[in-house]
Order: sequence, then C-alpha cells, then structure tokens
Amino acid sequence: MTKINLSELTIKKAHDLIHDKEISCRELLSIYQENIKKHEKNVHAYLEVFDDAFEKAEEEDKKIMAGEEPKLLAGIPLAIKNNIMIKGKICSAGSKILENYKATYDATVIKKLRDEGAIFIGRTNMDEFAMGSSTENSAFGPTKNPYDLERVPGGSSGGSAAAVAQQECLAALGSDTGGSIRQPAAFCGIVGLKPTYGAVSRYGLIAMASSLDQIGPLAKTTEDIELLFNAIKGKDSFDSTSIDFDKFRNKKSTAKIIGVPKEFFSLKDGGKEGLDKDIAANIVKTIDFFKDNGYIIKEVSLPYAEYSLPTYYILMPAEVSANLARFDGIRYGFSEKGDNLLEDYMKTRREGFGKEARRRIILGTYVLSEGYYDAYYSQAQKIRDLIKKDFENAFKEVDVLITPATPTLPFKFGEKSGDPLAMYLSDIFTVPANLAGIPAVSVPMGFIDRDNVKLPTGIQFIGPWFGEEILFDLSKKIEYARANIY
Amino acid sequence: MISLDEIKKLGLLSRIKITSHESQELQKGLDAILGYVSKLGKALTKETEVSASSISNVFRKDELIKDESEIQKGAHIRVKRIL
Repeated sequence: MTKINLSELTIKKAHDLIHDKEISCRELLSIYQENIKKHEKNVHAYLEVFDDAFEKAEEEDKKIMAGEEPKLLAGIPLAIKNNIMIKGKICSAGSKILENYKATYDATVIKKLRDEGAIFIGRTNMDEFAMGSSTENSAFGPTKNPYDLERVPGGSSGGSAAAVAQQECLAALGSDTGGSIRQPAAFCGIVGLKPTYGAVSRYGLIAMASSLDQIGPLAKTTEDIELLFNAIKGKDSFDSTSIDFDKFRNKKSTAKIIGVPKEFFSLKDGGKEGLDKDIAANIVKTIDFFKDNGYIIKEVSLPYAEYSLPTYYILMPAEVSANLARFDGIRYGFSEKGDNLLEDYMKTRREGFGKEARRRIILGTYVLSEGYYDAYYSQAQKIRDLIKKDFENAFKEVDVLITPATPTLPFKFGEKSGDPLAMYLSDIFTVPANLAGIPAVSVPMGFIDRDNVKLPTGIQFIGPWFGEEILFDLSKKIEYARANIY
Repeated sequence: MISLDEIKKLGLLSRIKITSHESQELQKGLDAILGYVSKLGKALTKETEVSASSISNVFRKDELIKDESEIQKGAHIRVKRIL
C-alpha cells in the first residue's frame, strides 16, 4: 500500500490512487478510521461513525476489480453534518428532540454523492438545529478546535470543519444560514463555501430559516470544494427554490476589480472597530498581494450593510419559530407526557429543545406576533431588500468583494456562551451574503500566534449571484501564493 | 422592555413551558437582542419607506376545514379516526 500524507491528500489525488489501484477504497477508509480512533476522544467531531462504511467501500472496490471505471468520488470518505438526512441513519440536528429520529429518505445531496460512489464515514456534531457559532449548543457536547482543544471550532458546522482539519475525513458537507460553513472553516483553517441561494437542493436538510439556508462543502483545498459543489448543485423537483445552476451561471469566471466594502474594512485605517488587529493586518497583506498581481482594488460602499446583523436576527428567528413548530412530541421521537395535549406540547418542547433553540423560537414568536409584526418583521424584510440592492450596485462596479471571514480568532469555550449578543456578533461578516442570497467562500489566510498557539484565520470572498467560479479562481490564487503572502 | 407577563404569553404561544427562574434570564437576553435589533428603526427614511419588499409571504385566513362527514359538537369537531 502506498504511503499517504493525509494533509496533502485531495479528492483528485485520492481518485487517481484508487483509479491506478495503488490503494483500495477500503484501505483509504481504514486510514481515516485510524485517525478517528486516535483523535476523536479529544476533538469530538462526530456524533456517530458509521459501521457500514466498510461495506460500502468494499462494494466500490468490487466494482473496480470487475473492471468498472471508478467515478470521481468513488471511495472518497465524506463526513456529513447531522442535519442532512442519510436514509436509515439518525438525523438529530444536534438536538435531544430528534435524538432517536432515523431519516426515512436520502437528502438530494446525499443521493447525488452516493451515485458518484462517495462513502459516508459518519454524521458530524453541530449546534442544535444549526443555531450557534461554536458547537457549544449541541445537546451532545461541544466539538473542540483541532488547533487548540481549549477553543471552539466555530459553528454551527463545527463538527464537519474539525473532522476535515483533523484528517478524520477527506471532505465534508455543512449548512450555512448566517455563516455556519464559513466561520468554522475559518476557525479550523480550511475552505468553506456557501453557494448561491438555490444552487444546491435543500431537500432532506432539516430546515432552520428557509429563506437563508444553503448546503455547501468544507474541504482542505478549493479544488475539492469546486469538485463537491459541482457534484451537488442543480435543480431538484423536490426543492422549489432550487435553480438550474448551469443555465444561470455568471458570465464572469474571473475577477479584475476587487471591491473592499468600507463598512467592513477601512482601507485608510487598515482595519475596523471590533476587528482583531492581527486579522486586519493579514487582510492588508492579502489586498497588497492582489494589487501586486495587477488587480484593481476599489473601495465600495454598502450603506445598509451595518443593518445586516439586526435584520438577520429578526428574520431568522421568525423562520425558526415557524419551522420548529413541527417538533411537537407526536410526529418525531422525543416526547414528554403532561395532563393534557397542551401540556404534552409544552413539556416536550421545554425538555427537548436546548436553551438557544428556545430563546430563538420565543424571539421569533415575538417579532411575528400581532402588534409587533410590522415594527420588526416587515421592517426587516424591507431592509433585506435594500441590502440586496446594495450588493447589486456594488457588483456593477466590482467583480468580487473581499472581507475578513470572522472578526476574531477562535475563542475559548465559555467566552461567549453566556452572552447571546456577543455570540451573534461572530457572524457579522458572513450574514450579509445569506440575506442577499449570493455566494461566498472562506479561505485560510495564514496563522496568528495567540497565547503561544498558532491559530488559523480566514478571508472571505463574496461574489455576484451564480458567480461561484470567480470565488474559486481567487481562492486558488491565495492557495498557490499563501506561503509568500503571510 | 419586555415584561415577564409577555414572556409567559410568548411561552404559551410557542408551546414551551417556561419556569420563573428562566423567564428572568430570557427577559435579559431578549432585551439585549431587541435593543440591538431596534437599530433598524433608524434605517428606513421616508425615501426608502416606499420601497416594498420584493420577497413576500403568501397568507391565508385561518379557517376550519370541514366536510360533510364531520359533525360539529359544541366547541368540538368530530373527525375521522387517524390510527
């Protein structure tokens, strides 16, 4: 068996090794399983590692031995965030209320990956119902950051990000409602893509806020991200919001003019209030790199951007309160008995949901209730529209936008969990792309020393609708030159 | 400021039982969040107010769905057995 350096292994390289019979799918899986055995007790990226993964890998091996040409994802071990349904497997969404809920069908993304021969190695930990930025809201205990076990991996797709960073899988799927793929990717030093709204089917994704949710990939390299995105994108008759990506694909595939939104980063000051100074310094280095390579850097204004986070924290809980109404103790798993039907509901939802889920449901109920609906919900919808228009205007002037992915380095456990507002501010750079429905990618931009530990940071590129290729192009440029930039 | 009575009512509307200890913690958290999101009040001027949202919800009136096989009995409606 060929000796493999997992930190250098990409999907393409693994595919070539499998294709050339230098390694079998079973052998590749066992290398990752060994790593899981070694690190999982510290990192806790998985809620479950699947027993039947070996069988599936052997099935792929048999096909190859019989002379079949392996498909691009044949034998590639992928980790799946536990709000994406895999038929027959528990899909808990990190919540006690779905602790024993077994998925009755495959999500469309799972079906697509399965058809390409991918192996699902396990279901990953997450903040309950994808609500959180640290995995501290998981009902099954938090995931730790592989770079420093005292720090959070980010969230909500923290399990998927940590599994990729710790080489416990080759790549993973997550979901992103306000930054839940990009923020953990930045905290764990990997690449994470939130695709354009509608580019990937959400059929089989447990809904959090349906006008914002998107499924996307997390991986070590942009090439892997691109490959997985191409495998899962496309129109699906089971998700009416999905769109034929190839038909709407942005005409641009590369950028010449890069915009810096002044509301997020001041070129003059080389930073922004609330933004970590070392992260700001790395952003300046990134901008200089692009300048040196012939790109035009242009400051742009998104006047309504500063309202993104408050807008998000009205619309998202409103949709949460509606989407989570279905968990009543009757239709799915967990149930607590009371003296009557109303008490059944009230007890089940009290015991079944964690603190943050309860807070957001109640907040959502408040902003949707009579007398407050217009003041909060309608107002936020209008501002969402203005934020979208800001981006439309910006993309008339520039091809892509650059911002930090997060305002801070990975924080310590407990640092923000007692203060919901402080936790919400983690999403300040990522939320606008969800509100506008545009694609955005987080790419590693070097490490920063903090308390004698090297911690990863991320840069975010935000593209126009269906402009994923522009993001891949710039992201690769950073990857090729990273050692020289930071 | 959101009152404890309001929190109790929201708990009922959301079908979540809230203990008195928790309602105080919720009050603190919700006040901070609502204070923060009230920033939006400043965002809309007369000029921008006119632009209605392009994303809209489709509502229907709450109504009882009945057919002839159902019999209304006082405040109750008898429906077919489900199980």
